[in-house]
Amino acid sequence: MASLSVHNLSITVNKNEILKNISVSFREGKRTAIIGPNGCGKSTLLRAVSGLNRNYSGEVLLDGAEMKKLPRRAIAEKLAILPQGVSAPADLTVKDLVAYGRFPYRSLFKSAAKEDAEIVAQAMEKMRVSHLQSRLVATLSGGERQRAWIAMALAQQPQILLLDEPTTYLDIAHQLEIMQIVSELNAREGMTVIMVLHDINHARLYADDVVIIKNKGVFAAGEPQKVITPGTLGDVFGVEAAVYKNSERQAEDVIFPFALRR
Amino acid sequence: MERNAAGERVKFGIAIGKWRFFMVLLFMALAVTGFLCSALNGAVAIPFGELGDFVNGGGSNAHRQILFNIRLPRTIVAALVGMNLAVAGAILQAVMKNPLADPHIIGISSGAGLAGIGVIVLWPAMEYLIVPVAFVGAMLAACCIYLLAWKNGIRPLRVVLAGVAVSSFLGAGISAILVLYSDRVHGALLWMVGGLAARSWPHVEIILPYAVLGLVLAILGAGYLNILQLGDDVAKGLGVNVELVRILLTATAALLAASAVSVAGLLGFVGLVVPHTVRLLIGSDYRFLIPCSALLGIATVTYSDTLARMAFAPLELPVGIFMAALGAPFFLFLLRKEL
Repeated sequence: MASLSVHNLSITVNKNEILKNISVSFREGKRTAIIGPNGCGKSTLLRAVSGLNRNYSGEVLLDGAEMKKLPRRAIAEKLAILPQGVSAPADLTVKDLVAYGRFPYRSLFKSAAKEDAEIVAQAMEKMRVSHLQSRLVATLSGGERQRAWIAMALAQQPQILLLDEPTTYLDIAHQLEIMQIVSELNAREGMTVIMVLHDINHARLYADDVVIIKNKGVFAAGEPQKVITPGTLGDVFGVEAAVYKNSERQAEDVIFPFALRR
Repeated sequence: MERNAAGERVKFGIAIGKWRFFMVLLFMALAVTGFLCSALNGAVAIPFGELGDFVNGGGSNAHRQILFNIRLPRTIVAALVGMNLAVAGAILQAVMKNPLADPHIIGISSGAGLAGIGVIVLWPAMEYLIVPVAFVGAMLAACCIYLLAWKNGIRPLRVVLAGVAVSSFLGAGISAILVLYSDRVHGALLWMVGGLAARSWPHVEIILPYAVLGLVLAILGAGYLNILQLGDDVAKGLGVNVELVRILLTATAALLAASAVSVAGLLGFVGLVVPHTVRLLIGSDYRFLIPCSALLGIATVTYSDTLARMAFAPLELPVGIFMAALGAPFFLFLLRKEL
């Protein structure tokens, strides 16, 4: 199990301060959703905790070690990130893409091993893309493609999986499929999952913790049912929202934003 | 890239693995025959059968002289120049994430060009120094562009733009020299077109070490080039130190291209078109793309040089002209078929 936390994190991009003095610890083995309005710095936070962006002040600690000082390869063996808007060469097959997930474990003198092939097969199995393995990534549907990319991240055998808006551009069924598979992974393997989400109901249903970012800082953090309320949505997004009981499934109330707050 | 009903990768109805194997064999055959063709043909044709006699210490003495003192070194230079430019172009296309990237982009040509032409025109007596001076000029220009493009790391687009700017700056210098010393430009023009006339063993000695070193580094870097094609973020996420890898690979390309340009002049076309042709034929997996570009680069320049010598014999055309005139239509044909 690997721990991940940030302390007094501030990030400035092109002289614009995006995040100021943020401190968050992500619970190990849990699913954390990061939500907030457009441009609030959700993705910026994810890029910092994943080690992609090292231009920050403050601390990002992976297992107690400062992220900036860790070699990229060491990070890649503990933590996998799927950034937004990824694209692959037109002639890359799903299997080859997923096999790239083993890259952190390669070296000049050690190429693909037998166990690598097994790990790649398992990753494809978990993301339900085994039947697509000889297809070209570029020819898959949006949902299939996203599952293939997440399979690549799983082939890294990470203890922490970071996803940046994994359901954007997908239809409702594929959105739920991604959320469910990720939740299964978390439940079965205890993998820590941290994801930036747009859909507040997904955050309520599929996260154990929610972090709301607003005005360069953490507006609220905690259990989804307590944090995502009509009150916070009003303050954070400026919308009027109400919670509706799901008459069929008591545990799964939905929150619906029905108007801009006047 | 085509695919069959199941979406699997095929080329002209053949599974990609098999297709790639055949293409590698084809490129090898082209490289070998191109090399032999270039070595055996010219003003005096040497029969293929005589090669065996040479090995046994026999054969005609005149032919032996021609082969070992003229043809062989020139052919080796042609092969290495072709290989270097093609591999450099293949590397740069992935590193700069730009399909138009070729050795010109990182200022190799303009740097070598200005230095080389400076020597030819301003200090004609020092012409024997042209190769090392051009090499230094090429590397200086490449370093210059990299330094100018550096700002919190390297972004490919900035390198490309800095390259265009520095190249036109140096190009202005070249033009100025050509205009100011218009009485002496003949040699300079020939050098700028790129040619292999009278290249001999000293040239082989200059280019060989860089060719070997560059090819080894490029092959070792193939895995990284594959990952770079997925984008910087994904590459970093997979544990690649993107900035460092990009600098090392660009340096490799610069070594390869600078050594080629310094012995053969500003040979265009190979660095851009050969890697693209290979990519269209076998796909974008750099573990195949690098060696195949090397082979097709060898084939392209050796065949072109042979034709350039033979077509209007005894007049010899600069190989650069020939290559562009034949290669560009072929490339366009491939492009129309594939895209």
